[in-house]
Amino acid sequence: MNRLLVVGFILWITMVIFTGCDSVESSSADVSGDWLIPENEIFDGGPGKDGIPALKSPALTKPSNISYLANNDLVLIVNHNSEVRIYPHPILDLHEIINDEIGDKSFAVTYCPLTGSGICWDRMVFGEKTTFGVSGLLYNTNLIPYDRNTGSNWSQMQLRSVNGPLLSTVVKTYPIIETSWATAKNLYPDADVVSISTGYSRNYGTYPYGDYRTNNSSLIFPVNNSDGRLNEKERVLGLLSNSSTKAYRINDFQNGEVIIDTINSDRFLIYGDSGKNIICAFNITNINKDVVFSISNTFSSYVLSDNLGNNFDLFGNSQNSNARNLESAKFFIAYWFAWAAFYPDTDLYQK
Amino acid sequence: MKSIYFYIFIFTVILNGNSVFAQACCTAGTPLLGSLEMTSAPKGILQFGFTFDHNSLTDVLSGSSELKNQERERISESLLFEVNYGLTNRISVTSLFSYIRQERTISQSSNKLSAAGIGDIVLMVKYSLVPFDIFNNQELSIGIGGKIPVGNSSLKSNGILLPADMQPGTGSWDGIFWSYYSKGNFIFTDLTLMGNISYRMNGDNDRFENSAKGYSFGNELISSIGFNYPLNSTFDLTFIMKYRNAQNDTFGNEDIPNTGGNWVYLVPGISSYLVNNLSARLNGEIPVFRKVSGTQLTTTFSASVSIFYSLNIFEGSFK
Repeated sequence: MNRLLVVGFILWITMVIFTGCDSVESSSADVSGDWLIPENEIFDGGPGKDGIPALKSPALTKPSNISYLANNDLVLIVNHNSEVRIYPHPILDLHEIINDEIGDKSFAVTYCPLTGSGICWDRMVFGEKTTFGVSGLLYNTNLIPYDRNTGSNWSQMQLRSVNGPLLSTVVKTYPIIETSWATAKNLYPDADVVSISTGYSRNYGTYPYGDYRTNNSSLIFPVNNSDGRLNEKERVLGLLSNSSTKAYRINDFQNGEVIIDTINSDRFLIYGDSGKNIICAFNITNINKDVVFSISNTFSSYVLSDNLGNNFDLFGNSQNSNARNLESAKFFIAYWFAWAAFYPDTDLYQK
Repeated sequence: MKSIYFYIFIFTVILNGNSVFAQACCTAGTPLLGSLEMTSAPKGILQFGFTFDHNSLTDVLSGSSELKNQERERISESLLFEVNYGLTNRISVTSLFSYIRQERTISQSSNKLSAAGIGDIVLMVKYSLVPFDIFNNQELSIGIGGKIPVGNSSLKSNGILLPADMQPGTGSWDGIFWSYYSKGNFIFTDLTLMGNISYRMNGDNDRFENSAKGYSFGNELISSIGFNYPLNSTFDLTFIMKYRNAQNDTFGNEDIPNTGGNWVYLVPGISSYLVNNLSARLNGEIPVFRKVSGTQLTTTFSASVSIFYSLNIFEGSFK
């Protein structure tokens, strides 16, 4: 009996000795080196690097062919030389990054479903065209894309590389508008829309995160700042002006409004319409203060007018080719909790 | 006449082939609840079980619909060592030790991540409401215990915390309820009916350094029913249907999307009474129904091989 007890004990001890040390092995060397963000606040989201597959040069279709979108589904709109492309959230929820190009402009539409932030990034980095993929990592529960040329990791909402050979490089962004599908197809009925023929088998009609969009208590990963001024999941326009930031509530823009705001010495025009679920911002510092802006009388792709008779679309393009365009401000829309986590000193516009 | 050891094996090891090897997506660490292999041990009987479990997760489900052309694969492997000792003919104690290895592969980027370590430990007291004897050929036992979080739940890769379901341990103290029933000579045949219900109530862990909110794996219910059929004096076949329900994981008491679900598995197995108190068992586990919450990578198949050994501390008391 004693011999058998010893055998059992040896079995267990052997198991412990041969396997007893905790170990981790990774084939990826892309996350080594210094980080500009606290490493203990970066989390592996679970699917792994490229476990959420980014798209490249997606198939396109016309709004009239779209049946998988509801009118209140959100979409992102990119406009280059009047060529408009629409990127629906239901596709971005499951791919997070779409590498695309219009004409000579190469860009990546990056969208984080956990922070509700959609930002258009230039894919030309130091003269080299790259594509972005999903690293599978999160900081402040926000997407960390990586570029496939160098393997550098980038913080989406910090708009810079936070790890790798391109450490601290700031990404160049392009204007992008977030609104509802109803508004988008009304404004741009001839736009190209990303099709669900992505090459991947996914349920694009089903939101993948339950009640996350509306449940203010629901966070999947921790964030390092909580700001009770607004509900966590309220969508805000976050404006970046040099070292200052300011947030604007879409709900403050009832039935279409224009406000002129000043941050430090810069003047900004913020146009919003909560009924149409739309908001955008322009830097008008260089425009004479005598110029008065207002909402266009008819809601078409030209949503703004000035007292000089010019009309402007959501991207600041003037209807009159001889007139100057409005300069888009540096902004993006995100859930309030995320904006406040990344920019804890942010001002909040008070109506 | 067969020795009492033979019957003890049959009713404590081989027949308890309702090896509910619960391990699906979003289950961290050891499939501990489903890995309690042995029934109550009679007084003085010391049982050892040594199991290797391989679990392959390649199917992605959205609800109950399988999504094709997936890029992810998970493998979960466990070494389990269970010790069971009968204090009396009704009361026994069980402990389960584990070593866990998890592997995640993303085909698109050829990215592979593996993590391994000692898993959590289960300690349990079992009570036989109806102790087995060779005359009534049945047993009804219940057990209660806990899972002690000795396994590492904060493993990092390049300084970054791994996901909860890649960790060897859960980091939480959990409560476990266990019950087992078997009836030999079922409807006057050589069949033995077996049934099992287990429940694990999970506590919170504090895996996030920058948050006071607790993370908890979803509570888990496993229920199984099946039969054992002796092919001959050496081999037995088992056929089990197993149901598993896992509730959503929570963070700060809010449900985490894409966790939890319902599964039904077919668990065929073959057991062999080898020599002198030594037996072996080979089990497969094939999902026949899966309905997950949201979209999840989930079990495609699993297989396990076990060796059991039993001895009487008071040698000579059995013939």
